[in-house]
Amino acid sequence: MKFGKGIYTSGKKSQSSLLVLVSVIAILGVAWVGNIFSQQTDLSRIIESAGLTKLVKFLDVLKGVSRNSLILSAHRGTFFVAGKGESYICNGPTPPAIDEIRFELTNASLDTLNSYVAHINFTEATLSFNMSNFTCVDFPMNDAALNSGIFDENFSVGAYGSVIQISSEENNASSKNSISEKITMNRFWFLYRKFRDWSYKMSLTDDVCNCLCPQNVCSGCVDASLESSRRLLEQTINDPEVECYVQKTCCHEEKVDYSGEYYSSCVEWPEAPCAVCSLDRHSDICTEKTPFSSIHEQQIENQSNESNIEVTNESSSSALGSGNYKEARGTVKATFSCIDKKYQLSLPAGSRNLLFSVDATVFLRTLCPEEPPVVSPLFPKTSPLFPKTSPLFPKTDPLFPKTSSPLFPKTSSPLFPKTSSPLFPKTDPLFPKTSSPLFPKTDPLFPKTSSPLFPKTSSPLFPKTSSPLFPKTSSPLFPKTSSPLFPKTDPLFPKTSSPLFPKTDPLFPKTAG
Amino acid sequence: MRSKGQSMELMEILIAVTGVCVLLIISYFLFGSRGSFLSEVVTESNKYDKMTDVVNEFYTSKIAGTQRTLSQLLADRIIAKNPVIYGKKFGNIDVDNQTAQFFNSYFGKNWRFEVKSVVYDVNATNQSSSEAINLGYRIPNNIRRLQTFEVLIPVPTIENEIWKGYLYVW
Repeated sequence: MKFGKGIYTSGKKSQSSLLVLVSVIAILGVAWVGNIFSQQTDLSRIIESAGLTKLVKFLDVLKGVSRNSLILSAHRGTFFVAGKGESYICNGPTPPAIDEIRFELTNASLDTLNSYVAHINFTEATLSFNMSNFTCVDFPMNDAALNSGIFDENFSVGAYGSVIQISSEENNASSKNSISEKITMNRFWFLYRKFRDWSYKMSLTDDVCNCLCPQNVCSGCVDASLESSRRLLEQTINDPEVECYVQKTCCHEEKVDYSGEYYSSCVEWPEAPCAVCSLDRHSDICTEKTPFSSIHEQQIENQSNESNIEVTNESSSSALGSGNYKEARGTVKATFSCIDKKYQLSLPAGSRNLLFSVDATVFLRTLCPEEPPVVSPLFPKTSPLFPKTSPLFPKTDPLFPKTSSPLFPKTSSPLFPKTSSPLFPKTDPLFPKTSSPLFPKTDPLFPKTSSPLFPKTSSPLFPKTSSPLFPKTSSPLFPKTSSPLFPKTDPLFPKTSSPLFPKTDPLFPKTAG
Repeated sequence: MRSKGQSMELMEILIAVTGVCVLLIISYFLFGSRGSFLSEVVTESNKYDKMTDVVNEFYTSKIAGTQRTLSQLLADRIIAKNPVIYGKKFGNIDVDNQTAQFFNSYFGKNWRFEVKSVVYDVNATNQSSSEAINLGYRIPNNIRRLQTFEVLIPVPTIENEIWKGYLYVW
């Protein structure tokens, strides 16, 4: 029984052991399979997450490349627009408006930016991407912001319209590539503001007008005006890091017989050799790209409405139109450039200073009395002391001039300083106390120092050397050769015409009554 | 007979224990290999994240005292010689040194940065490159895991080129 029982017991125990074993195996198997599934899910989730993260990070990298491309494009755009030589003076102030500048900046920067975009190329095999071109580069600016000066050294630029698509084996990502960047150390808007302000202050047009009849537009008169305009520009900018230059690129003058209707003052001379202003401007910012032709200069014709030059109609001035006139024509074109040495831009030729250049073009004509029957340039028609019109003596009192003239300048010039007039300085012209280019401190009649009118070794009355007013062999009172002010004949009783002493008695003209 | 039964029982228990152990060992290797793979994936992902973060910094953060991104500085460095002259306000800037400091702060001495110029063909499809700037440390010979990241640098050239930099981290 024992044996049998023992066998029975042993068999039961064996069965239970097997059951335990099978149970353990089954439990482990289920756990294992469950774990495998669980881990598979986790793994795929982690891999997927890592893949997505990789795409997003790669997207950021692409945007980073775009941002730096935008910075370089903005540098290139500002440098191009600043150096383009836009016409800020075209017979008067014609600075481009802010939106016109923004349009030009957009066009100049957009092509560069898209060129960079075309060159973006990663060789990483697992990711492929596609970046579409930008459609707009915007330089936000308005009058209030510009005039406040907060964008003088830094300004914002944005680029829009591009889309990035990235795809890997498992994932795809797409994002608008709209970026904005702060352009630092670039004083484009500062210089634009200063040039714009200056264009309304400078008097080149008036100066050229006043130089026409004496026919010395290209022989010194305008040079002085250009130099004073340059100084005015530097004063307007008022920054020691900015240096300005002026270069006369074209000058022409002529005097022809005139038989048409009389007009006073100066009017445009569109046929002038230098009568070209680049004024083809657009202000439709960030629209579909339009053909841009402002690089090409446009012949200016019939733009009297844009000019600030007074055009007098015939009826109002015909009363003055008795006599022979010559038409004096003159044109001047100059480029004013300022270089900002404070900062440097990243440009193809290396880091360079911002150079801002603008063109100033003046092309005018006016009538000059050839042999005035009644009036002389010095003492014109109506009254010898209170002339109405004359190129040398404007409408105002010649003794107390209000308007600009070569002899009574409004603004300071090297030859005609602000506080004095060459003919009527503050102090006694014959015995001046203060220095004047024309009347230096020393005795004007017996000068010791050099002056444009009275050179060092000469006396105005007994000159030895040549002077603009008193040529070498002549004496102002007893001239032998011709002088602009004192022709050959007796200055007090002239026989030939002179701007100051015409044929007729200047003090008692025959027809003046 | 009793001892035979006992020994049989012992044998069965032994077989059961052995079987369980074998299963545990097998499951350990199965689970363990998946786990190591998982950790490898996570590690690689983290490293990649770090590199991309650094590269994004390279593009966006402006270096103190220059007001320019490192990408800009390197672009100017590519055009001009080091140090780059930045005018009266900022003087000369040692771009190589700035770059080294930047990567040192993230990767210690385990990085190398090589910038290669890219010469584009007329049709802009093929390109050839030549080595231009090498910064950082020497890559060890027996390095197991070397991560490489391509860094594009827009350069102010007439053709608006984009040069390629390769950042190696180990």
